[in-house]
Amino acid sequence: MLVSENWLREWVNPAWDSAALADALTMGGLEVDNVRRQSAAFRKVVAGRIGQVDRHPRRAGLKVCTVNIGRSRPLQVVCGAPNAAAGVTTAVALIGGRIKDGREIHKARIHGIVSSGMLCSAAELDLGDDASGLIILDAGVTAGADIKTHLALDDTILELKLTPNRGDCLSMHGVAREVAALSGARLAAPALKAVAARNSHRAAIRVDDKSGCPRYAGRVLSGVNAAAATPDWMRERLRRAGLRSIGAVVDVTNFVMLELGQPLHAFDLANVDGGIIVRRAARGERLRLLDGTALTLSSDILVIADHRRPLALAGIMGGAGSGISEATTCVLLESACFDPPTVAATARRLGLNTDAAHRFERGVDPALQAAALHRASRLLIDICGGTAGPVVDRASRRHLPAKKPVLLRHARVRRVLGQPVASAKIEKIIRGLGMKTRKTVGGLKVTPPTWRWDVGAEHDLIEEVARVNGYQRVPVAAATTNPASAQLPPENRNPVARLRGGLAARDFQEAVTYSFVDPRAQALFDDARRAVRLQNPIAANMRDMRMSLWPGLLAALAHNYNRQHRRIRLFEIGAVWRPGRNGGAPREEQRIGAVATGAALSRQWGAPPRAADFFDLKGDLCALLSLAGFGDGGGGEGEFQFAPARRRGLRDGQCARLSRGGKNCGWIGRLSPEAESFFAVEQAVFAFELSLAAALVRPLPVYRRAPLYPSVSRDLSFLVAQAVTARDLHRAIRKSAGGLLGALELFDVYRGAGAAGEKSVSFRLTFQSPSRTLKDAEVDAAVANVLQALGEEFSVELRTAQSA
Amino acid sequence: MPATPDIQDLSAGAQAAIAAAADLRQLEELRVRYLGRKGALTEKLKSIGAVAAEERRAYGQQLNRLKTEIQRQLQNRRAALQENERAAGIARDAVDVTLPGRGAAPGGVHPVSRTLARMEEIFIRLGFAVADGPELEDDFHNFTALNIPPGHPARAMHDTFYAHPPSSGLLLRTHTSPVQVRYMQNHKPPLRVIAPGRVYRCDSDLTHTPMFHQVEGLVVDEETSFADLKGVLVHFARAFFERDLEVRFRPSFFPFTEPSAEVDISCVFCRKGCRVCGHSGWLEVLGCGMVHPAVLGHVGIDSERFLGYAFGMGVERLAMLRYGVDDLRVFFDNDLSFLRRFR
Repeated sequence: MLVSENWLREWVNPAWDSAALADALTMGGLEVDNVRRQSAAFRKVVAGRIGQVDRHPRRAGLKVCTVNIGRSRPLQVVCGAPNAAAGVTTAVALIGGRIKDGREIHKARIHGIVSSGMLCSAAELDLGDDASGLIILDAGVTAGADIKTHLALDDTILELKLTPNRGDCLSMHGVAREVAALSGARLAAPALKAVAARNSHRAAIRVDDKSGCPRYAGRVLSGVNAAAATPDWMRERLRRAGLRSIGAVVDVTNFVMLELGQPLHAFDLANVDGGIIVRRAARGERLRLLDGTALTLSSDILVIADHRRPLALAGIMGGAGSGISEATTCVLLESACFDPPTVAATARRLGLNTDAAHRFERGVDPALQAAALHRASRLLIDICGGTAGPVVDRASRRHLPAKKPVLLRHARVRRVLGQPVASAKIEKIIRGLGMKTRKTVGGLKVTPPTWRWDVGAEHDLIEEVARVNGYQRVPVAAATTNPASAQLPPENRNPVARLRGGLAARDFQEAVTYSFVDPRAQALFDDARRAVRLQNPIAANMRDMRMSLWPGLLAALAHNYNRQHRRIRLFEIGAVWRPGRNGGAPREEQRIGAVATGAALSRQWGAPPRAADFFDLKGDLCALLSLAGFGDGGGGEGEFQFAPARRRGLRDGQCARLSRGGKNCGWIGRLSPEAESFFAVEQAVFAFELSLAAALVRPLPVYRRAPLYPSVSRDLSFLVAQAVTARDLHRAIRKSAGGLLGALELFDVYRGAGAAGEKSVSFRLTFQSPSRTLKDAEVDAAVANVLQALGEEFSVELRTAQSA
Repeated sequence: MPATPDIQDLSAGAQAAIAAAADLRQLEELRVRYLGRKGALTEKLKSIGAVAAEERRAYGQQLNRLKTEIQRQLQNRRAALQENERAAGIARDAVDVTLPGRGAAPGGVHPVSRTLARMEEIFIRLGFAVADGPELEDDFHNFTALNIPPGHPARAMHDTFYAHPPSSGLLLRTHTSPVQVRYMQNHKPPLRVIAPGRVYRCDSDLTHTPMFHQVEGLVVDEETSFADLKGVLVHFARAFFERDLEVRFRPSFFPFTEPSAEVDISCVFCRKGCRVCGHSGWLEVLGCGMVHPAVLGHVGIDSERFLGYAFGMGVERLAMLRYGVDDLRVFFDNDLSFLRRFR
């Protein structure tokens, strides 16, 4: 619902600015979805009264108007609007003024005639969507009056997103009532004086279906001028609430609905045959709605009928045959209370979500009908003239919702909210909501108001207390008695179990080996003299604390090798003890290590046997590292890097140092011949080890939109010296390819090609732009750049380059 | 006594041959030629008896020295050859260790699963059990038992998929709340449970998909309150976003809870307002409230004795906020370039 703040403040005016008001409503349960400050979309536009209208001498359809704008001399304005006529008061944009679309008004010569301004339509001033003719203003408005002031256009519109239980807030009165309760500000009572009957034309009303329509009030207004103009102030309020002005009578009914929350319907009495009957439709009856929809009714639909045919869908929409026209002189005003589920079911089934249905579904105050009728009569008579007949009010007390007193126990409030609320405070809140209270032992007897369909039991009242008092006043209880155990491990850390599971899933068996190892085995890999030595070892070969996981893992590997296992893959996660820096205390460090020997795959029919090599274990290690973000960053900062290196215990030429962000964090390689022979394994043994800390880092996923434009790939094969590493080539290509290069894959290496000491290497380069489809020429240029860089740095010789 | 010419010849020949041996096989042949059972030196030692008695001792000493010398030379040469061979082997076996490893990289789990897993773990750590229920539900559990009788305006809030034929009475659950009902039907309080799962609504546009995921929570106990509900959800929000963010509870309406609240967290993307939070600084993340007495009544729990609270949250919504995803629909496009970000 759209609420004009100006209008609201006429009803209740708390000491809050717009933002505070919106916040209070939101925190009170009337969510403000949007706060829109509105002002005039134009400049220098005033009211002008058209005096003389002449035809343009040279251009058919154009008129030359003299317009009084309250100055000594009227303006001459050329205009094409069909409704530009003498006596009409409209809006004139003056020279130097501006209209909604930003156009500035200049003195112009239109087909030879000077025009000193512009007469405007509602659309041109952003005061409606009508662009078919001039906006017509109240005849009484002073010529020359600023339109912005006349229509009070500086306002703030609050867009409320009401929950379905708060039908009582679907009106200015309802929202004002709520603001008063939340702020304590005084609610200015609406002007609801009864309009006495001045004619004896009694509406004939019969309610056959009292459960569907527990109350139906109506009255006849005679001698009405339905063609009268809706006053500017009313049209403007309707507009700010999102309603179009249709005609004075319908505008009045809509206005009262906005003001009080009572949907009204106006019938042209001339088209009502014999009187109103509220009943269920007969199956097969037909009704043509105001919007033109033709319906065939079923027997569960509640209709307003006359003695001959259905006239309207009760509480939803009127029919085309009985609506108001400009010729209407006798109006029958309907002000009813319909059963919410009845309206809801029909509205949903027919897909008719009208303003009236929206309110009736949620429940309209069953005590409001007569008052709304009086309010509408007053406005209608003021605008359209005529006299009112007596109010006919058919109410069935038995079918109206009963409002029985409800017991509200203070103790229950405390139990539900987890916090006591002072009894005086409870009473103040409840009374502030317009409910009657009577003190009882330990609580209150509360009679809910007629407009609150959602309040009928104790828990409803507890919600009201909590809501008005403020949910923020309810304490936040401790979620757990042991916050430490409730703490989740950080998402940017790998749980160790995930790494363990990752290696297990790659066919590694976890081993648990002793933390103390054989000093001779230790010496293969580290300066074993610096190991932490036990004073009282169990045995001489369990004397020193391990400096690496390898001695223990390799002993386990050898153990299995000696028992005829030829394919052995083991890992362990655990502590090692490194010498302290500068002779300080030894450092305990968690590591993850693995050893592997034998065939790449277990014996199986579907794949030929092949001995595992360095790259098999590297594949396993990279799979593990990918759990820690490897391969996500395209080789950027923070990415794991492999560099050729030498290390005690690993074979030269098959040994790499692992680093992340420039910091060494592990090793991978084949065991040195000494180490292999120490463990008496007569086949190649591979091993890796890295600091657990490096593997625990797990960058949070970073979302990027899926590429919208196709990628372009090129495969490059070239000859290069064997000594040039893949990493060197990778780096050179990245550096020279430019920002459009996405994936870069090395997919073939062949040593038998070219001269001795050369190899053939093939890369696939995939280019992609986030913002456009790439042209072949720019990809060609990038590839040429790459080849030039590779040629200069590594003297590569291109073999093939092709689109992939 | 100087070495006899024959020993000198032998010595010189052996030394030259050993130095010239190109590999271990040749070296082994040399060992056999000189020191084997029929080797040159062995033959000489065997025939020492033929030497004159007064020279025999010195001759024998010379032979033995030569034998030791040849052995030493063989050993040195062997070591040198072995080292060469080892070095050659290492050179031959050297690889470019910067080449990519072989084999498949791991795949990943869907961000919804990842988010669900984290949500579940947070609640499990707060003592919640995890329950599930059918996705093809009946009207009673999805609506009526949750205080949403036919014709209730709240039914209009749910665009429901109904199964054929209408007489089956089956529908796709519109929320995970029916699991609350089923759980209460099958367990006696105190209850403390969450129910994660898929839900369906007949809605598909920029911000809605016809299927999405929720996590429902339910606590029923003799003493539990709105303050406890706030405690659990504040803890959840901060644990999930790993931030000490602000959490606010706004009055709202759900048919199955009263008092009801919508929960907002302070925007995780901005301080002063951004597009995601609609410049309000707040993000709506879930709905909750105290279980409506009518809901407890439907499953035969005495609402005077027992109180309860319940909450429900959208998994995709939380995943979007957590990982900065700006389009709900990508979760179900299953585009690899999106999915691969989640490993």
